[in-house]
Amino acid sequence: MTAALAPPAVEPILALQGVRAAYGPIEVLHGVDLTVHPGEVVAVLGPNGAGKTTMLATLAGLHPLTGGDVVLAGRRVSGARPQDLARAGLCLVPEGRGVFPNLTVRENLSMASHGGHKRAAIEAAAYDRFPRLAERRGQLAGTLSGGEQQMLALARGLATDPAVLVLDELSMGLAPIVVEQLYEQVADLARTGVSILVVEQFAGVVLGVAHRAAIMVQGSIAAVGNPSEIESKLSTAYLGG
Amino acid sequence: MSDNSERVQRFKAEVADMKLRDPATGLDRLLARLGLAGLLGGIGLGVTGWIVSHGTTNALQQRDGIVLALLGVTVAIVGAALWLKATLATFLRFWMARLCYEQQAQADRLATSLGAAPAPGAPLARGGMTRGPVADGRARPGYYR
Repeated sequence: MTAALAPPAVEPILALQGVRAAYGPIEVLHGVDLTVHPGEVVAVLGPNGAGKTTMLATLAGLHPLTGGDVVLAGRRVSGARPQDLARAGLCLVPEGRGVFPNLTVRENLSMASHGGHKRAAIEAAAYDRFPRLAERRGQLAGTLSGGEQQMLALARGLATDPAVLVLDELSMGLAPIVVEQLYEQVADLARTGVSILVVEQFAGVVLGVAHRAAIMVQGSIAAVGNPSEIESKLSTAYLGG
Repeated sequence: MSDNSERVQRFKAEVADMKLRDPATGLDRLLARLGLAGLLGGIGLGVTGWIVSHGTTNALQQRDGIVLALLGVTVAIVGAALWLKATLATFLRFWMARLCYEQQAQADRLATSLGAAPAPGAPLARGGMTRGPVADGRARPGYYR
């Protein structure tokens, strides 16, 4: 696992600038500022209800902004449709995995072939990265274990050849050993140059992979820094001390 | 931290070429409401037409009622189509994708089995499936009498 680095002086590939979002009359994001640079892993940590998932939904075009901007590769893309962002190379692996439970592993992987990638190539890449999926290729996704479903979700996301990968609660409901395996894959991906924004409720493994980390509390970024700095501030942020 | 500059450059180009449009949720909602109104209004027109034609012995008025009812049926059909399109578009898109996939998979299976099958009249490969009884007279799996 990798060490912390200062943010590079290149243009960020993804930037949230004063992003605000609301559910009806209730504002849940109160001006979020965050950047991800090319090839960087940024972890956003925060307690339940901090607005982490809403932030991801907003930047992926799934939830409307009420203020601020989402900037991708130097271009303001606020209000862009999620399918356009996905086609460009922004991939969201949602919380709860989002696999199609009544489709087999193969069929789930085939769902990522809409971008023009060959199904055989998608399967080969997925099975190469996650050999366990190869053993389960004919099995319905709903009958896989939580870890295998997360592997499938990740493999399906990677099949789209993302430039920016956005992961929501990768570790949710998984055994620690499975979480470690998944984060090894995330670290491996970062080494290939994919920019990764990962949101987690539990800091455990993700801080070992991240280059930078941020703490989100009550819809705002409370602190940004290298993982060791953030780790020391976590208990204060979570407990509000 | 590594920088896959080729992918980043491609991503920048794709984002630069992206056509930004407002999410069409407002239009979908408007179409759904319009369709639903058409569906209900069309049914209402049909019923009104039936009442008009049924409530008179005057042939001219009855024809007016029939025209009204036909108009109602047309409006109801168009409204239903519009409503379905606006509300079920996403579901139907996925259903079609699934259908395409299944057809493709079926075609793949067919192609594989055709490719694996021996040519008509050709001898069976050694150790291959034998469609016939074996020497002890018991049938093998796949033996058809």
